[in-house]
Amino acid sequence: MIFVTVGGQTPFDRLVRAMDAWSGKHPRERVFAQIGETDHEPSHMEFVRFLPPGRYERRMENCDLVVSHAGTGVLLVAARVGVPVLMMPRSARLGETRNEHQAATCRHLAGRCGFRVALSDEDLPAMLDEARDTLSRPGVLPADQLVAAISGFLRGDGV
Amino acid sequence: MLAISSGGGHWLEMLRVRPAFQGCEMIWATVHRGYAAQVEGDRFHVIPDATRWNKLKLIRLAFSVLILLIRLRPDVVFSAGAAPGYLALRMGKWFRARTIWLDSIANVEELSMSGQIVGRYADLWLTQWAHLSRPRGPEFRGAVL
Repeated sequence: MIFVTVGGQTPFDRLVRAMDAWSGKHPRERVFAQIGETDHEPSHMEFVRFLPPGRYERRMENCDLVVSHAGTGVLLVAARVGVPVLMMPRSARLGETRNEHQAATCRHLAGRCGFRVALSDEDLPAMLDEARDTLSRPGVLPADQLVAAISGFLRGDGV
Repeated sequence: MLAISSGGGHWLEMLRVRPAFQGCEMIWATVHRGYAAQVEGDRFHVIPDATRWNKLKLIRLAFSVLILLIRLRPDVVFSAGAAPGYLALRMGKWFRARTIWLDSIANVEELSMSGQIVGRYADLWLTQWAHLSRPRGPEFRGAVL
């Protein structure tokens, strides 16, 4: 199953429309979407507007691939659960967010933790087809280096 | 040890480094009661939400963080942001706590506002981006992703 999520706060019409269209062309793939305040109501995929935290995590655990906006909240849950993510940045130019921080997130995090990037809704279908063929579950990824730095400080090692 | 932050990504980032706190007596504080289940077994406090844009709420938050510090007297204060963490680190120093600031991984292009001004109150001052580290801090020592 593919889990589409756009976060709770702002709509993301381009992503929801692109995934709805893709879903229409791939009737055998199960797609479930959390669309928040997005206007467009999908007709080819199951959707809810919001998911409470516990159910949100279960959706993530039980899917093969997450398709989402480039919000760090989504990425953090995905890394904890160990599921690959194809992310598409919200654009400030199109009024989807306040600044281009999601594009920066994509630029810097692509390739880490099983994260892939589709830069626009036009790129999304091809990136999605490729991701389905090539992505495997990265597995649960601990933040080892950072954990070691903090526990070292707590033990009083030379910091 | 007091781990304190606002909600959303900041909270999730603190959970990502939780293994570092093994053996510490943990007290968590954040803005939603709903997060308590994620740290079941540890002590948990709810604090009011505030950003630097609303002065009245900020004062209310500062007051409740101060009360928390007086009651708990933590040896270490840790935060991944934003306003609650800044206030807790800054006031934690009045009580001689050791302090850790982990600037959110969302701050890719520059340090957060609170992350910049908290530097002088943080004993361990961390950014999650190598290109944002500076010789006099913040340091880059890895990331949650």
